[in-house]
Amino acid sequence: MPALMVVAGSEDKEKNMKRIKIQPRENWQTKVEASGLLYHHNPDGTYWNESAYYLFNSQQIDVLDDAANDLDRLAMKAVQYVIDNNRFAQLGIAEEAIPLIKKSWMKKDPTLYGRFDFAYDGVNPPRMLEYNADTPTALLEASVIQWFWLQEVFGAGSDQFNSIHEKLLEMWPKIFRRWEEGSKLYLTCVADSMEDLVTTTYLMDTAIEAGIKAELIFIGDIGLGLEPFARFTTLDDITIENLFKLYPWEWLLADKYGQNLVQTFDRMNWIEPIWKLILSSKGILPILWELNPGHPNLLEAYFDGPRGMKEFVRKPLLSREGANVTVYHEGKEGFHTSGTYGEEGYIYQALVPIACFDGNYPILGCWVIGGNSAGMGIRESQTLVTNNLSPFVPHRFE
Amino acid sequence: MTRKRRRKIRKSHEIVLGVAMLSLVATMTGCDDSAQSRRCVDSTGKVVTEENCRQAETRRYYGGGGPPIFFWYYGGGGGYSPGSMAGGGSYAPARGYYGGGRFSTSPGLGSSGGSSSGGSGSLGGSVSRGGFGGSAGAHGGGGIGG
Repeated sequence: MPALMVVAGSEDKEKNMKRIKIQPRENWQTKVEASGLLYHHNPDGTYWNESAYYLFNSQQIDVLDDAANDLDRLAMKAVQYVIDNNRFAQLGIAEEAIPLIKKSWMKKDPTLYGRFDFAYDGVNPPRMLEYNADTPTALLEASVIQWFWLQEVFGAGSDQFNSIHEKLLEMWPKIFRRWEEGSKLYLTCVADSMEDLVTTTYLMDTAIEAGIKAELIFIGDIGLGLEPFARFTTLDDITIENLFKLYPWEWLLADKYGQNLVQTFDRMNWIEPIWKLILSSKGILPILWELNPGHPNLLEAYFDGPRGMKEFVRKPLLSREGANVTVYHEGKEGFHTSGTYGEEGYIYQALVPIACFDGNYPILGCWVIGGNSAGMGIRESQTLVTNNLSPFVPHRFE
Repeated sequence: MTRKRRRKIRKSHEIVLGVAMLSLVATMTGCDDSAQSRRCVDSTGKVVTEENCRQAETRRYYGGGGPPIFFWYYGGGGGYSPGSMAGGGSYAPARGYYGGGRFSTSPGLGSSGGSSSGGSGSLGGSVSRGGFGGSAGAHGGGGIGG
């Protein structure tokens, strides 16, 4: 979750959202583990942090809800614009993916989920830092763990911006109706990430609860059969027709079996669909700005350089986990993160002031399920760039 | 402008954790009697109390220095009480059944060209494996963490 931030915030602190310190529950580790959060600690320390929470008012939640819905609508228009104007190369999208993207978009292949990352202080409009459109994580903690926390700590009458679980249950049947009757959903992720396995397992449970037959398979276990026709298979050599993958499309395309995606494409349903490649590229940020200059929820962004901006960040088109991001102050390089990305090119995005709460800088991850705003999870950091280790802090509103 | 207040509280029903998640939790926390048993051992294979491994995990989480000296040990024979010796097992949990998913016992990543007889519904023919997943390794391994 790369998200850039500088210390600032609203001067009207009375109207800000609030960060409130609170005593963690007794045996909180056991409680969150029992609900599936097996990664409540990470190499940086505590990942699930219930020693504080963020408090919002109802109007602030409405603002976030509206922003997520509005940006999702703009994102859909941006996909059409990229296709119509052949802007794929600028987004770092491989040429072989383009006909598949067009086909998938034409078929209106459905999307399950995505997550907008906002900078927000409770007063000024939320500003979108980026859109995690293809492989968003931090889902279980946003959907389930913080909800259980809220209920236990504040009781049944308390409120949270969170209908993620219900919207997943609502969305799966809408997707499933488009598939062959009785067919099975397979869900895949890498084998060596607990977070990915938990996220995928949670989504599988929601699919099963929605009445869909579903099964997990690790991505390295997927087979390729070429006879009597090209197909991806399970360990029992059953042809996979419907596949949810918590694995980026650009990685699928670059893998050894990437060349077989074309042959199998017409016989498969993918979640997320391949047209999400357009939205998961950071190149969508300058595209959105180009189409909606001055939009209150967007940040100025360009492909070809900072264009006179003095305070900006440079982000690789396809980076993840905050990798290879460079922050510029007064036009000079001030801070950068390491990583393996950048060969594909960069975009330049204005730095946004982010409110500071007791030395913590929250980034609000607002979820959309099936194109509808569904809830929020907050990650906070003490550094300039939020990454996949940044702690998750629950929230409530009143 | 007065905004319409929109309640976001869950309106349908309580969350009920699914079987797959409960199974995963049971497997990973060692609470599943049907799952592979684990015990905490020291570097000689002697069984020690589980508290040692939990503390070692905590130290690792917080970046404690030095190599770990206590390890979870999965399966195998020998004793399970502190002071007895473990053997014939593994320092990594086997990839087995849970949550309705079935995973290969031999890692797929990097393997290829294997063929199998196939289960019900198999179309037969040679099936290779391991052609997906390589890009994760190229970017440092682990998950996607988006």
